[in-house]
Amino acid sequence: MTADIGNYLLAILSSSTVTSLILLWFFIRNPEKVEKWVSLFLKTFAFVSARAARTHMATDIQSKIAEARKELNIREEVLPYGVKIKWTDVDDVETDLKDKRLVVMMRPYASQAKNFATIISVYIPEVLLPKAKRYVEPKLMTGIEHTISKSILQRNSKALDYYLNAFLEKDNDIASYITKMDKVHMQGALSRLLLPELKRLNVLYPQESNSMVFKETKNFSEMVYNFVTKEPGVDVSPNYLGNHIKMAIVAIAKPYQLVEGKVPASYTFIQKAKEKGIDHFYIVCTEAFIQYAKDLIEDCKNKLSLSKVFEEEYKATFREKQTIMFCAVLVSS
Amino acid sequence: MFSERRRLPVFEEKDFHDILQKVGLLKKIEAGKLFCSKCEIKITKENFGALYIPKGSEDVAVVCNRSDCLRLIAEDIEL
Repeated sequence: MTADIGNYLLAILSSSTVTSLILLWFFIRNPEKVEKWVSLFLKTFAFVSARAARTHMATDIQSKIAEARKELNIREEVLPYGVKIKWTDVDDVETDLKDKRLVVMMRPYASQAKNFATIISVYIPEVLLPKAKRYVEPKLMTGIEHTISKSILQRNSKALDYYLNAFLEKDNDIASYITKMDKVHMQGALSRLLLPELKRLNVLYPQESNSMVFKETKNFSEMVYNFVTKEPGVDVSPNYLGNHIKMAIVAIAKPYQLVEGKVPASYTFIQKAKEKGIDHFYIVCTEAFIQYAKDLIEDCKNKLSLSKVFEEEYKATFREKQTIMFCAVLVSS
Repeated sequence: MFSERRRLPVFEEKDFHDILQKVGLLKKIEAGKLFCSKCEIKITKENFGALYIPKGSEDVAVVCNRSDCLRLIAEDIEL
């Protein structure tokens, strides 16, 4: 009888310890999810408790930004910092202003969508490619910031409406970049390709920017846009060889097989591009060609001394349809 | 775990008057003489966005709540 009770207690203790460890592990691995749950829990009390409302307002925005960072930082850390909202008051406002040089006004809880849009408007230009941004053509950078801001705000349609209504872009060049970057982002190429390549300009930091590097970023973004929006059968340059950005997009749309005496065009293209100095290769395709793309990657790793640094299958909009896409990155080793 | 977060101070709308008084801008806004440092629109409680201290200055400036004015703060402050 005593042994049974002992075994029973031991079973409870070990199962609760295991559960606690699993929860702890989950919390460490997914802090943004836990914060989201806390936020949802507090939302229940937000209309009856001012304290709960304030905490919900902060954690709601923090967790949405954390989720967006996870998605956008898929290949490179392009948004290196999240947000920790700190409530200040009349006693601390001067200290906070001197410390952070910025204090934002939050609307009451019922206007949380406005608060989300306001914080995103301040946050994105501050943290998106913080070092490389000074070398990106300014109007292009503004266009990218708007595209990223809109994509984060899509999590809350009211916030997106508020952002768009409060946004009056009169500059035609910026408006054109926003349209183009929206299309690049819809295909998943902004976070996986364009932003990581722009991040290569970090090597220039803290030098002054100049018209040459602005031109390079402008031409590179045009090349990416033209490539991702090209119609079937239309020839568009798939590579860019600049002073800092040296990359090529290799789209696999045919069966690939490397056999003696018959070398596929995609392999030859990579071989020649590498000889010219291109050092980043983006192997992209739709679902039907993933295995061919993987075969090409293996051949390039073995025969051309390229290393695979990234590989992902993801859903995106390709030629107006939701499609499974594949992207892998090979770099010169 | 959350170490890669930047602190962003915010205040509640109900503290608007007290905060503006503290930073010496209440009389200006009441007199209708407080303007957005970016688009120069007259600032009221309804269109108030943020307080900030521009680079190389010790004076507190204000921007309205339009997204294109708020985003320009990043160029104007030392973080």
